[in-house]
Amino acid sequence: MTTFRPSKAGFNDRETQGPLWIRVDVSIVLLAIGLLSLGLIVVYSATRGIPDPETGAVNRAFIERQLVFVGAGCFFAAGVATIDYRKTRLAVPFIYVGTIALLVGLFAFGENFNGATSWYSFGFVTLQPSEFAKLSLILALASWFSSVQSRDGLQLVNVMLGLVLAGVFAGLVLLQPDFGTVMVYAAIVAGIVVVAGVAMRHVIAVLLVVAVAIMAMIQQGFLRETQLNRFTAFVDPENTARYNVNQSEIAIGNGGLTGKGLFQGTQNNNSLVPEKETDFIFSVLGEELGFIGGAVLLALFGLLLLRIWRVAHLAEDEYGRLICVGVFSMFLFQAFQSVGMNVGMMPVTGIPLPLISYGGSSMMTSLLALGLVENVHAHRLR
Amino acid sequence: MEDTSRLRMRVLGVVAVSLFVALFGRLWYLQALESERLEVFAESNITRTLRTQAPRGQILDRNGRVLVENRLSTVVTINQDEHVKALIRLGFDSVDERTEFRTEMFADLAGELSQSGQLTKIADLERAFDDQSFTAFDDIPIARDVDEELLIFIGERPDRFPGVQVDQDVVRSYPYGEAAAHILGYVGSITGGELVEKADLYLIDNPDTDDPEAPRIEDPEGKQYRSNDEIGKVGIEAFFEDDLRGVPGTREILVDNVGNLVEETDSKDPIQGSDVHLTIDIDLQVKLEFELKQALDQARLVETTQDEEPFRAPAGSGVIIDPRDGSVLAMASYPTFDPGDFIDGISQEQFDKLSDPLEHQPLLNRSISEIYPAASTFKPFTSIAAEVYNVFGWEHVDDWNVPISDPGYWDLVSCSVDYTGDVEGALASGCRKRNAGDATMEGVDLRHALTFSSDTYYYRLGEAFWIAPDAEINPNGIQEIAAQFGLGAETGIQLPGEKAGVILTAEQFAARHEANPEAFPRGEWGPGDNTDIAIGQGSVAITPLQLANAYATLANGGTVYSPNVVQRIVPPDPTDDPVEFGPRVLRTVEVPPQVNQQILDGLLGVTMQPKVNVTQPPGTAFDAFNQPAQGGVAFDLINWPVAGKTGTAEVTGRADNSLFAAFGPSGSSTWGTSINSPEYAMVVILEESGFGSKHAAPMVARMFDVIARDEVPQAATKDAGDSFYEQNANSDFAAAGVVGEALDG
Repeated sequence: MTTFRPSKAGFNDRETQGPLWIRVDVSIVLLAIGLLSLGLIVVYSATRGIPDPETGAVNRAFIERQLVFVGAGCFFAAGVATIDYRKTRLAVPFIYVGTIALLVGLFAFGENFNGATSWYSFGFVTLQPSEFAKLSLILALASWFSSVQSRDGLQLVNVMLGLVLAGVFAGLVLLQPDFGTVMVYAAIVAGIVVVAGVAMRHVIAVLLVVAVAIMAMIQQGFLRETQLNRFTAFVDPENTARYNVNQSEIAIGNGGLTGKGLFQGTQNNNSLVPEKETDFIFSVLGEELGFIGGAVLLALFGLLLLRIWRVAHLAEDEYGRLICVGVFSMFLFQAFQSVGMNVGMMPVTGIPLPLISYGGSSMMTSLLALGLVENVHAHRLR
Repeated sequence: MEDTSRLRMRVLGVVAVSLFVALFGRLWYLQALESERLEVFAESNITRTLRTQAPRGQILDRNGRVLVENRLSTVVTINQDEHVKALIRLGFDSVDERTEFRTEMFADLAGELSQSGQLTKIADLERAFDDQSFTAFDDIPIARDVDEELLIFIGERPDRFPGVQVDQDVVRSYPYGEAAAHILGYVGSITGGELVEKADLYLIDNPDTDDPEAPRIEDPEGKQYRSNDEIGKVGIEAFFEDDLRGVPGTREILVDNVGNLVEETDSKDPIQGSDVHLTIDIDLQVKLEFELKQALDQARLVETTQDEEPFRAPAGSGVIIDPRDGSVLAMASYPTFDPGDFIDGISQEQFDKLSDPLEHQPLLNRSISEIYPAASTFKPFTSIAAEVYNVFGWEHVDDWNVPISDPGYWDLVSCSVDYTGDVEGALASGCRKRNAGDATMEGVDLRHALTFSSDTYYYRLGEAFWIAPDAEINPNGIQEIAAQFGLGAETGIQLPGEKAGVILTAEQFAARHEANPEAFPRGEWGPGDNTDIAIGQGSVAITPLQLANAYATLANGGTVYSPNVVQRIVPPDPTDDPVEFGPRVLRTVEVPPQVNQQILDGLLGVTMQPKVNVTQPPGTAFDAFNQPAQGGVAFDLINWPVAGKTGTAEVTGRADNSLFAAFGPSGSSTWGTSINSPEYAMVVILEESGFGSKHAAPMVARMFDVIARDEVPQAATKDAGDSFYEQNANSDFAAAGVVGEALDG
């Protein structure tokens, strides 16, 4: 006997029936492919170096590794999308504890780059647990808040417990120290908390607590001087850390409407913008592909966010919805913060541009996050 | 999904949309509105304009021999700013750490430099580093002409020697060493004051705007100065600075974020400055300098009696001019200096020494910048004035062709007191003026007065100018004729620092007293003052060049030139026409021909064997031109007659200055030689060296001797060896000896 299932607006049979590869949101896949392609081109431009005048040889080491990251990321994302997210929910506490172990382990085995102990080094590849912790945090918070949700909304004690879950990660990452990633955690928490239904007065209370905590940390010298400099550079143009942003703004302005052309950016080719393949990758895109390139990138991100938002909207259960909201918040904040920093709107914090910036951990995390969203999309109404 | 949840999702959406709108807005602002401005930054981010100094033009002598050229020099420099920045980059955060590093670095560097053969002390490097005359951004030279291996060694170790650079630059080179130093001058780093002074040069109207108020911009083809640029300080180097200075080249280069050169995009080669061709003959110049030094050395050897001031002979000057066009052929000043010492800057101590009056100011070009009494060399001009203003034949003054008897003194007729029999009283009151040595002479007419230098004859003339009623004789006649000959005024030679000198009139004398009664206690001009200027003493103060130029005018029959030391300026581009100076005639002086002939005959007698009246003693420079045994030369006066005048200038509290002014070849039928085409006029002034006949005249004789025989020794360049003076001396003495023997035989 066939049961009539009322067709929900926006859903068609193709999306709810059949094998996984048919039930995924194709738009998300296509948008991701668009962003990845754009990202690979720009990362190549940022890392190829000056061609050898005799042989014309360029540095392919970075782009080759990035291609491996993208390939591996897609593979694992497909894996993540496959098994119904509800079935793995029991594993979330273990993932959470495992993440804490990885973060704590850094203090014993981590490598220090640029003044932060954020990486495990395996010789040929490095792993940044704080990136993967974003996913762990999304799953943990989504699981927690969906389980404690009641008709009357969330109780304050449960909200606080959720914040403690996030606070453990944040605390460990701050000790590395990596302030930027903590801000991403904060964005994830904020998005999930808002959608999970916390009372407005609680939100305000939480914000106050966070503000006081940050002030206390600054007071205690918890933020290293350079981080503080970078942060205040945003306010104080005379600060030497302003240099990075200045050079990035010059690069983007230099691009103009249509850009200088791929590989033609002088700011890029002369390495005038620091960290141009990671945190300041948007400056390369802005300089070489211009406003048009930047607008295309923002449009792709905007559409991707829209599709994630849509999946959240249509999710069958609160757990799935909050996963999507977490991913949404993560992408939204990272894209806004990263591009915003490049254009001089936001303070300088080391946050990669998802799906674009060079770096394995960030790329894998972004792709896995999309895998989670596709999982939610594919496994609704089942 | 519940409605509240839906609402909450919308909140999220709204947040996302507003954030993206903000990003779009900012992106549009940067890439559409601000793009033009930021593009300029991007451009300047990667382009650096480096200036390359253009080589200065060369300075050549009249025969095209190079007197000043350029050579490449390697130089090790240290830049304070770069040094400190590099140390901060390397992690030396405190001043103490940096000082410690620097001490070690200097020890290291001094060691390396010394090992390569340039003995360098740590203290030398520290002194250079702390030198206040450099700014923090200057590349301070610490070693020059270092061997190549060391240059590479230093250049490749920026971490070991932060801020230390190896560079090449062009410096002046002087093939003839010290020769003509005063004329050539020297170059040095531009001072702040000079920089301000030159700031308005080489500006053009901004071609991008029609606004007449718009500030003018630097001419891209111009020769703008930047701090540390080289600039001519004195001499030709200073006077022709604008010509000698080249147009700096520029190199536009692209650099990366740490300043490494990526690519050179545009370059404009520097253009060498114009060459300056002098009228100087370097052979004659070197010979003149040599003879000047010799003459002073010889004067210094003369033993003087206790009553006399010693002949210290510390300084002197010699000038040779071509009377036909006013070209300066040679001009020497002693003591002199080495312009090569100024390459790389000179220490204050050394500079002070070169300017110290106690050291007789070697930097001073006495030929144009020192004033002397003309003494008896002035008498031809007094003679002309006496004729022009009708003093000859006035009342008690006999005409120029009437011989008088010279008792050795002249009692001023204007003195009201009769001092007959009271010689002491007459001298003390200034009513009696004496000849040098109280010499008495018979048969003294104008010609003889010049030949034997009778002061008495000129006292009489000088007094007459002053005591004659205004209507009859111009009381300022001597001053006016002297002025027409260019005495007491700048000649306009193309050299900086020329002094005017002065020949005071009664009015000027009074004005001077009024302006400064303490320095000039006497304000009233008397007949004694006029007798003084008649013999070129007292208020007569002229430069050696003025005197030489005035004698050139005597020689050429009355044309006063502004003397040229530069013939032409030759631009680097052969298609550009050279700038020729040509003869610069200032004026023509009308010399009454009869008196002129008398003067010439009188001046010829100075060097000649007496002929007209053989009972007369020989002229004052007879020994110098005829008696090798008396320190003179055996001069071929028949074929190269010399008209000259000795001068012995009294200077209070010192020995007399020895002067001789002459020209030739210039004969007269009176003296049995009709050769009269003067090509050389010459003046020598030797300070504190006694009679003009004893040292100045023999020096002129030696100079004219080699000129007359066309045996001016070829000047040796520095490369030819250090024995340059020796060679010069030997060849000269040998030549003189040969001629002497030939005449004896």
